[in-house]
Amino acid sequence: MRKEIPLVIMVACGVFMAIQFFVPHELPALIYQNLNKTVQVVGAVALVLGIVSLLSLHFAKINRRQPGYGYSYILIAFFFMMAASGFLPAKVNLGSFLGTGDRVEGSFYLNLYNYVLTPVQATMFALLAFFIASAAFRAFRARSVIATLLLLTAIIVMIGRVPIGPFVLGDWISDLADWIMAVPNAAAKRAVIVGVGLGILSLSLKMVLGIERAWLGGGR
Amino acid sequence: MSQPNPSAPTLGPGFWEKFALLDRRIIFAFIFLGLALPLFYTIRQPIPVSPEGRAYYQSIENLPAGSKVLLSFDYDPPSSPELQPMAEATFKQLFTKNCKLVVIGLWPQGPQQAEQALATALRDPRFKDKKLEYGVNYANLGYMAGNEIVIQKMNADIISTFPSDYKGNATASLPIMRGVRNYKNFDFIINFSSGFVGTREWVQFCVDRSGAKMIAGNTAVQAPENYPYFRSGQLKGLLAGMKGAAEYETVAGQPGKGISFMGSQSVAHLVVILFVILGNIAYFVSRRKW
Repeated sequence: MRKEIPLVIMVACGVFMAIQFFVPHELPALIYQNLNKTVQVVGAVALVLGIVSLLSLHFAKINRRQPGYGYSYILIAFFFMMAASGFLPAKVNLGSFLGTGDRVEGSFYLNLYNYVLTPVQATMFALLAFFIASAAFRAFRARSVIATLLLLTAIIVMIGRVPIGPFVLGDWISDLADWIMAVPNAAAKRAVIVGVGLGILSLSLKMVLGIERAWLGGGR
Repeated sequence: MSQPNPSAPTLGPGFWEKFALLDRRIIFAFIFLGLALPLFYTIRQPIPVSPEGRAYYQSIENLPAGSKVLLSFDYDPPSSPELQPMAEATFKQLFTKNCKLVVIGLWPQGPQQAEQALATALRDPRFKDKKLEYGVNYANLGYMAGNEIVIQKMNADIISTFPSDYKGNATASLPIMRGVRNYKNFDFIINFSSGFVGTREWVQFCVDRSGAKMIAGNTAVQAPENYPYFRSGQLKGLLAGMKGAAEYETVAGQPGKGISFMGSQSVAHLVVILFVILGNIAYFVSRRKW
């Protein structure tokens, strides 16, 4: 029964979700809305599980004094601080440095968001530019015809998508870059989208028909 | 004792062999200078506007005055250098047309990014006389967990999907939400996104199911994925990365961060291209010697 019951639930939900799309009646729409709510609840539970998992991992790291455990203290402290800032009553005043409990300019929440979270996340993302430049220098080599084509395309798009390209070389370079993005790129992406869509459809059918059962676990 | 073979590869300290093994910190230094120095200078460059960028602007321009527009902010601070200039310029164009704006976020930090963009737009002296009021002219319904499920739920009932707004007010009590039930009550939808959940899910679950008209602003990394939707007409306009923001600011006549950051991006791209070309020269010269 441990396999049959989940299979029956999945088949019932799968068949219903496929059929309701074509039935313009209130009852299927109502069930559809409630199923969507269930998915949201499951997602919220997964969020709690994620938080518990994250915290237990870092508490364990601190207990075992693993390398870099000091960063775990910072993570846990800011985790609770950021969460607490969202729950502070509006009337609370933590002083001119930390701010107030509401959500206006100068509040504790916005101070943490604007002056801690935003610069930290932006810095992490900005590092990508440096690593991409270094990786391009080492890996972007014209080793074969295909690699050369890729290299030339990348150079055309890089130079054509910034204003200095057409400013120095003329409008043809930006037109060519736009054409690469709008035609070959769109064609390739469209092929990927259609391929992925067909793959999802066939896998869904196999699951609904009970042919694909790997998701039930338990090996073969 | 073996004699050295003259035809054997030479491992002498040639310039290109050394260059191929260039310390990455030197590349980092060039990129840093390429990005930072242009910020101190005003570099005037004509910005060509792509068809998708022009379509983005024109789609908003074609809206009747007072249209109701839904904006979804699906990104966080790392993507704000690319998407925030688009969002600020979009708010300004929409306020110029007296549109009523309802903002939501499917990423936890999205509504806060929207607040920042709104604050910047509202500081524009052009809107002082308009006396734009929260809840009447614009509203921020905040974040809702659930990704594409939220998009699907909004197709049935937006107010039950977002029972309270970002400030804690009941959504149903906001004047701007009177008569709003689902996407059919919005004249237009605008999405700013940098990944999942984002433009693709909005096209699949909102545009395709409700027939809503939509434009999008994406990061440069994400935009190539959504070109097919622009080509097929499912997206009426598309801004791609900081270049897209600069294009939009150019065509809208609102110079802002997008245009001012283009100098840095131009020089940084040139530095990367230069290193790629030099790296290839080093590769071929080294290979010939072997």
